[in-house]
Amino acid sequence: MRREWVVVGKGPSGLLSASLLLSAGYDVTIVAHGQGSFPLWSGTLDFYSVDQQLRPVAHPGDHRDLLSRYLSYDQWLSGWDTWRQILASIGVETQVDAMGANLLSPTVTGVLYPRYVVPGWQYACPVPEPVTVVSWHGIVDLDLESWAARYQLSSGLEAEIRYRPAPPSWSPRWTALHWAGFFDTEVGMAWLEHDLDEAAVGTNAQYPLLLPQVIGIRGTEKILNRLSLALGRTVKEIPLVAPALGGIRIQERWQRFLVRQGVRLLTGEVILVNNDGVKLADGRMLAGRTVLATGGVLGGGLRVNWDHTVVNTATGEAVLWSGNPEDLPVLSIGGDSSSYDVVGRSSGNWNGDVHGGAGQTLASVLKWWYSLQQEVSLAK
Amino acid sequence: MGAGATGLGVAWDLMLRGVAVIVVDQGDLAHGTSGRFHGLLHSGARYVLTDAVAAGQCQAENLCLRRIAGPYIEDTGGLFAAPPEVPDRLIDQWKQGCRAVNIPVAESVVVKGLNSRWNRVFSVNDGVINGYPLLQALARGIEEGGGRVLTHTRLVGAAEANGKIRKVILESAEGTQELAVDAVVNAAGPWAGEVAALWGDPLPLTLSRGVMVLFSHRQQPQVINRLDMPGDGDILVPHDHISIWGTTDRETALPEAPPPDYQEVIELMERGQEMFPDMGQWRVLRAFTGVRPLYRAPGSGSASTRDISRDFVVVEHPLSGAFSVIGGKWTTFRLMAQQVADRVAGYLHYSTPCQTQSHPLPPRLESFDSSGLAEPFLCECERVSTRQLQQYSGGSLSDLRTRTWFGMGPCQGTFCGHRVAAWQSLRVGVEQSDQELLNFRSERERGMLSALWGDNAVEWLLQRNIRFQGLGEPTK
Amino acid sequence: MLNDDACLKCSLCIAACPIVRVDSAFSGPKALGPEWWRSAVADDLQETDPSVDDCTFCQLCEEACPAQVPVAHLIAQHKDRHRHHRSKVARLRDFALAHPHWIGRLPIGPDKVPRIFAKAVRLSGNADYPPKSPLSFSPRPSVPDIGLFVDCFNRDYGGETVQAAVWILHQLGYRVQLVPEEAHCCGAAAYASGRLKDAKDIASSTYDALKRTPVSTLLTLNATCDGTIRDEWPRYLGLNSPAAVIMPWTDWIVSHAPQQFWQRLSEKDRKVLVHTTCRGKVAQGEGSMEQLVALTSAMPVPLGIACCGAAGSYAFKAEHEDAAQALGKSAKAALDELDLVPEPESMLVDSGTCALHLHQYTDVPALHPALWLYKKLNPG
Ligand SMILES: Cc1cc2nc3c(=O)[nH]c(=O)nc-3n(C[C@H](O)[C@H](O)[C@H](O)COP(=O)(O)OP(=O)(O)OC[C@H]3O[C@@H](n4cnc5c(N)ncnc54)[C@H](O)[C@@H]3O)c2cc1C
Ligand SMILES: Cc1cc2nc3c(=O)[nH]c(=O)nc-3n(C[C@H](O)[C@H](O)[C@H](O)COP(=O)(O)OP(=O)(O)OC[C@H]3O[C@@H](n4cnc5c(N)ncnc54)[C@H](O)[C@@H]3O)c2cc1C
Ligand code: SF4
Ligand code: SF4
Repeated sequence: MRREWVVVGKGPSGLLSASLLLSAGYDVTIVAHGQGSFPLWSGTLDFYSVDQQLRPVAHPGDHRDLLSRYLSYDQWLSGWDTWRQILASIGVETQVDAMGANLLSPTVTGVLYPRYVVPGWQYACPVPEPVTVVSWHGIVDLDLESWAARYQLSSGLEAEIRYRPAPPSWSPRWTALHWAGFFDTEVGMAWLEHDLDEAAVGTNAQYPLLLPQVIGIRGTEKILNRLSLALGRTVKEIPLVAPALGGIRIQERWQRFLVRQGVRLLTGEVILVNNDGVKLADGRMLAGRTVLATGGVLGGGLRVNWDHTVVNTATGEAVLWSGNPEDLPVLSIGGDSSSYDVVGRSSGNWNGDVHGGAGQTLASVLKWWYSLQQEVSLAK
Repeated sequence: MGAGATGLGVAWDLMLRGVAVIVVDQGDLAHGTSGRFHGLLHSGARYVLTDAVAAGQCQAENLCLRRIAGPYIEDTGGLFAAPPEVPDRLIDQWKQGCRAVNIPVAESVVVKGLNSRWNRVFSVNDGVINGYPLLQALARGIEEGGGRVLTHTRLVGAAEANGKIRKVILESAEGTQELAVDAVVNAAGPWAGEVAALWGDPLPLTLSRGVMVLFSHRQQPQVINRLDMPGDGDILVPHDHISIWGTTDRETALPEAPPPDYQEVIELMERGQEMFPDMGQWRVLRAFTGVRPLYRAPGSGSASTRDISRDFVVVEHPLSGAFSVIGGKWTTFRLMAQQVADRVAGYLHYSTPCQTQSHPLPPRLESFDSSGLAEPFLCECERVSTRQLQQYSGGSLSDLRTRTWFGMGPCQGTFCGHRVAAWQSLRVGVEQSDQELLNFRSERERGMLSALWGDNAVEWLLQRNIRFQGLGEPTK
Repeated sequence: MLNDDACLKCSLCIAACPIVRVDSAFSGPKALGPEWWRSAVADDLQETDPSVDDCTFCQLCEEACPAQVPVAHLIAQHKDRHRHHRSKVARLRDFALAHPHWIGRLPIGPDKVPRIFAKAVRLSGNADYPPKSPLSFSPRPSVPDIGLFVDCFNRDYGGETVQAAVWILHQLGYRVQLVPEEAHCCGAAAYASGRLKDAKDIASSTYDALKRTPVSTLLTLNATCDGTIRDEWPRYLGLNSPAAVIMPWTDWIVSHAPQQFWQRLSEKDRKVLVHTTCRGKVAQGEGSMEQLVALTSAMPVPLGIACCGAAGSYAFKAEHEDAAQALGKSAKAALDELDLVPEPESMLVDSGTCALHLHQYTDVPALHPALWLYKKLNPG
């Protein structure tokens, strides 16, 4: 078995593949020409299937038939553990549902949604409860009144809301990152503490206090803990839309961790893959066995041309598409090629949009990993 | 009947003559072809080889609209570029044709991005019509002049007495109502046949659809036409930030614009790449169709019908007081309106002459500008903040879209749809705004799916992730 | 520009931008790049956003973009447009800083410029400026194997580094020529401050100079020059590639030095800090300096920040004092978080201005990997 591996793509499936390879002592180079999908989602790991009324019917145990496309149920369970352990090793604590019940977490529009593994900073609970939400003018994704109305509709429970004026340095161009950068500074932290003191007056201290997901990038856990202590209640975040701080925090910590462990993290576009390794658009060659974690059409691993031909961007190979839009999210690349493996969204087969997203990422990576280990033990 | 360019044009004209008018449309303003056209203010040069009358009308109306509707016309200028296979003879003939109807033509420099073999280029005075705001201004003007504009109201019947039209029957969300009238003008565009059938005189219409592809950026500063006999895929029109490429001409069955046929889109794109070799790489946003009604004059020639131009017809029905107007162009809407209004005014014994040639349209609503605002944009692509929305408070999400232009930019509502829906929910409640959001999503999606390639395909997938995973919108 | 219309509005660029996190008035790459561009094309390039000047041109936004929008290069166009709205003094100063190879000819080093004068020309009062350390030699073999690109900084302030780099190449048996023969600049400084015409002129004259002493392999000391010459010259400045192979010196050494070379070094148990500059991450990626350190048996410790805040001459400009300082402080915070015992003796970074800046904020002496290696091979 070769020692060098080239992982193409640095989305969740690329980083997970790299971590697994690293843990088994391989030399790993990650190469990607763009950011993966992490900064676009909150970082919850889901497996769900939504019913017509959007009811939480999402416990993985309810979907063994779908799950078994990839792994046995036991493999899934240990897979989720692996995911949680890796996140813990990069400093991200997670919550996971208890047997038989889903964690529920409200979206930015107030819909209570079933989630499976949820980062510690994000609000989630096994049974809906009344909540207090505080937000600031100028966070356009989160309209509190509308949120509270939909939360009421979705959970049957009350949401107390408190709209607060934005801090003095705010400008209309502030994105979630500006807010987070502000709260990461001491001035920002002090402002936040003071503001929440005022905002919490008259709210029910039994309720958890929820904030938009802008509470820092590097210092999130520290800030939230401090606020929880000061206010004497749970303080957590509600994820916003892209850019999503949850995913950004995970991505940055994970990448930093891998680079510190000796993984090379290169920038470049792969245009050719063969048994020796990959070739980049600027002419560089990287030696190693290759795994494509290129994210399908959304991640840039597949390109749809105006005449509806589809190309695997990393190899130049044509991929067949029916022309039916519904087949686009599940389009897979190659598959049985002897010169590369495929994981993540690129492995196709399962529509992450409607069947729960990163469940697929996890499953396809694990499936690949288990078969690789088999290959290794056979070789021995 | 019909709040398209023709219907509103007729009402505006009659209103200025002192007639009390009501405009009715089953949808919003510009629900029909007037909201699904190419955007070109014709110089007429496109028609000089085939229809000199229409060409001359276009040129005259082009100049007239610049005078009376300045704020709604973009003076981009236009170019005609000849592909190498077009013989010089045809080019000369075209130039002569232009001169004959006073279209100013000049030899021009070659355009960046244009096929380098298309090296014979001429400039003309084409322009661009900002259709939605122009129609909104007409509607405002009509209302300010005492008329009424009823949208989302459908004509379902008519009643007569003594061979004269007396009533129309209208249906809307509020129920059915009857309206007493002295005359009706059927400007229902592709629906005109159906509407005329309501008083028992169906019109012999054939319908033709044209498909257009919309690109996210202004690829060229001016209109670019193919200098040849008119055909498919021969005009690129810049429109504010975007560009529209079209169009085709295929017979179609129903008046409601159908989703574009993919094969037709491909053919259009192939044709486009003859003109702009890298068009396949341009960022596409969507494709859409518009439907034209074609009037086949009945063989015998009924007494009530008179051809005014080969391009449009005005029909006086056997039922007195019922008129239909069919065909024409956006560019010539004022002229058509004048011709119709002359007849209607005559019928009603109004003697005031037409004033639309010199009466300017109501001014444009103050348009908000970006930078100075102390509030963030809900729609970043088209720079729409809550202040613009407030200006049109009361409309549905789709009304808000065509008035503020939110959701029309590169992201096609991916990042602003839920924000505007949240704003709307404070006015109409969460359940209603969710329904409107769903309508908005499916309208945007329909256009995106018709041009599902390149970054537009990526955007569509991103939109699905945001909707179903991020926001928790229902998947069905 | 290719893909100038491709923006998906996903905001991954904002997530990657270091300035967004420290400068609350900065509008961010999406607004300043693709959004500005779209309206600029339609409105005939009229309106500009003054915060555009606070962009460092690190290009991390561009690297993150999944649609391959030339984000930073659109922002450079924006800067170019905005130039005319700026004060005369700022323009004059920028003109000078855009020609670093001229500044080098002045009899005194920038560190010796009197404060009063610096203030008058809107130079930062916080920044450390480089002392003079000009080249003292110029090897000219009859048929060189390698041309070493002497950039504007190293020619006047990095004499030691150049000498070290040449010495090591000599040790490996290569014949080296310093190119170009006279003082030149790749044009990066001018491009970064939005002086596109200057950038083109400067790059063209450098290209001509390189053609006078042609080499087939061109090594750069600073990854910014690598990215500029290898990628931007052909893509944005209409110049051909001046050599068949263009590569950073570090990557060349890592891939070409034989085992015996590394065996001369034994840095076991030492921890060496490494910072790959923002432009380095974009041009090549992270990992080659780490590899170089690991080959000496020392343990590389990546600092783990995106950008140190120096960004060429960015930190020298008075209006950027706050942002440069904030980023410098985050570098220090990252170092503290690492909690290295014993304290690291040096930090490797391939850019001279970044080295100054990092040293200023972290107190760890920062130097080019070539100089570090040289010192290890020639103790005392
Ligand atoms: C908006 C959004 C919301 C989401 N929400 C959820 C959620 O709520 N719950 C959940 O469980 N999951 C969610 N997901 C996750 C999602 O459903 C998938 O699991 C995930 O995107 C798959 O990741 P991936 O690693 O396969 O691909 P990606 O993350 O897309 O990564 C692809 C990588 O490949 C690189 N690449 C592609 N082609 C090349 C090439 N030729 N050369 C070099 N590099 C290349 C790209 O640059 C990129 O780094 C969300 C995703 C998005 C986008
Ligand atoms: C593909 C295409 C491209 C074109 N490009 C250009 C161009 O670039 N320049 C140009 O000058 N011209 C162009 N035209 C022509 C121009 O768009 C049309 O001539 C013009 O829009 C017709 O307007 P209208 O008001 O007659 O019809 P419409 O705009 O179709 O209006 C009819 C209205 O009647 C309403 N209606 C129908 N039935 C009922 C009912 N029962 N009750 C209530 N309301 C009803 C409909 O909802 C609709 O709003 C183009 C046409 C097509 C098809
Ligand atoms: S170049 Fe760097 S500083 Fe400038 S916008 Fe992009 S990421 Fe931000
Ligand atoms: S420029 Fe690229 S990264 Fe930034 S929003 Fe647009 S597509 Fe996303």
